[in-house]
Amino acid sequence: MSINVMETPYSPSILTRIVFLGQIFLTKILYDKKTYILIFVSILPLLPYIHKTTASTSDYMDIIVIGQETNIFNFLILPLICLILGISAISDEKENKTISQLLSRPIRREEIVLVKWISVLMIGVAIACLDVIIIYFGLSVIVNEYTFLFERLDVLLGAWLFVGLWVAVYGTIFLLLGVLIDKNALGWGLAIAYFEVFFAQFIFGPFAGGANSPYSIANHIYYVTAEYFLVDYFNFNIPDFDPLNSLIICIALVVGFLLLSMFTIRRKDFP
Amino acid sequence: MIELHEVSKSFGDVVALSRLSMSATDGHVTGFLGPNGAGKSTTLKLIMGEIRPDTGTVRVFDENPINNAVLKRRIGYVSEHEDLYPWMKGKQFVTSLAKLILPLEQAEAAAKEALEKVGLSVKGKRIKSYSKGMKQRLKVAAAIVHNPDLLILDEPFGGLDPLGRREMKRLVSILNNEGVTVLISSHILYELDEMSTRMVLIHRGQALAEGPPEEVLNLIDQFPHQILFRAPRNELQKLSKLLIGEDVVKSITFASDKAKNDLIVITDTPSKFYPIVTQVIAENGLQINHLESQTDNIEAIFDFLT
Repeated sequence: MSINVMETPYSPSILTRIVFLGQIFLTKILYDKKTYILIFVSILPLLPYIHKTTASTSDYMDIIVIGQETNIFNFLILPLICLILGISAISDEKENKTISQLLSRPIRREEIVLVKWISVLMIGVAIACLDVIIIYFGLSVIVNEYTFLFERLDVLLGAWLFVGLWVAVYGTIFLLLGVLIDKNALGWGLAIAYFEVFFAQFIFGPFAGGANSPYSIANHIYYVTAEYFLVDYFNFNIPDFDPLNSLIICIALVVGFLLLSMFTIRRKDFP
Repeated sequence: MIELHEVSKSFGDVVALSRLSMSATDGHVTGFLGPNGAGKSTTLKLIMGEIRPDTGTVRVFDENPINNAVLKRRIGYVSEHEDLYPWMKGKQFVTSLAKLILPLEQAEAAAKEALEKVGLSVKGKRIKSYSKGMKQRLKVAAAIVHNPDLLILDEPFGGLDPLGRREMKRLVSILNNEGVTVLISSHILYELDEMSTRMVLIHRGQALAEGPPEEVLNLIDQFPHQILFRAPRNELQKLSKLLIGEDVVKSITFASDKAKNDLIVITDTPSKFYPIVTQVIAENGLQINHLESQTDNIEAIFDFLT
């Protein structure tokens, strides 16, 4: 070959490596059928509204955040987005053995995790925001009378921030799970997701005097959303707990699980 | 260049390597030979830093390979797996990986040259539609795109037809002549003898012999060798007619089950047989789909050597 081996081998900057590694990971997610299924399922929460004739902000809140009747989005679709993207980020590379291609390149293992995390966040937030938009405009299509659409875009912005925080926290937790577990990571993730979303409140709720438990991560996300993102549209609180502390807990979880993922992959064998 | 000293590695209850010591020296093509399950891939993964040894030391260019990004700039690695991104096109794949290691302005040209070097010129097709042989070439192109000093190939002949194997051997020779040190593993005894300048035999996680290939092959030639060919019946009939007169062939047998289209050849001198059979197939344009040393027989040879 005409390109000669240099005496001191060239090394691209870390930013260059992150950009081009990110390009590989993002195209992978874009070519994955799962991505489009996660967008398509966002029509499910709209189904109960087919027989209704009106929709309001509170209906939208019911669907997106914590509805009493129709909470498919919150309890099914959001966890699925985080679960599938977060866990498959590393476990897909392990299962398809493409991790070998990455490990044989001059990239540190921590960089692989960091870029995967950025990719999961970018695509996860994009999918979740798209789902929120589909539900937002879908309501206007299936009901005759609506009272809020196009007039209250702050609702949409608040919903974006809510799903963004959700994807950041749970996506990072599941990323670690994908690094840690070699087989059946998705099954483990499913168990943890539904334990957390469904049962943490019921199990730890009584310890909090029947109120919203501070031991549920989902509750902290709801609390932050109610206090900062959807102030006028959604009520939620954890008794005797400062909302700022809930926000700090969310950020600490993201940073902590990301660092733990990086530490774990350093020690990991890839047989 | 590569030094493994008293390396052991277990996966749960399975002992993959047991106090293995071996080396690969600068400028050589080192053939790494052993039956399936002997520990070849585990050894290569240790050298690539994908796994850690339980005990012992692994040094590559006198450095520890675990999470060593600087060291990886000098190494090209072709794993035994189909570790490709199937949605990408061939050139896109090699270029994407080249951008992680070469200056951006060189990456595209280097990818083009690497693809030309392995004889792969498929435009517009996604990797998922490639044949096994094309995928194998693509993996090699991705491994040599940055002109490594050391090339590690794990079972590179797997799935290749006889012509593809010959091409791969030619490529390894060219790279070695350009100064690339090569470590190449195979479970097929005589795939390595033509190109190797050193050979390491491994069996049950331990190195049995290491040295010039003639000495290693002399040991192996003491044992009868059985080779299976799989192809359309008429092609096998042509092959058997062409081989029957050769001195190196001890017996030729068609599989009793006609539906199977298997031909089994036994030879006492496999080191002479393989070059002859490759030449016969190439000169007569025979369509041989599959060729393999019978595993049981290889294991018997290694048992015989231990």
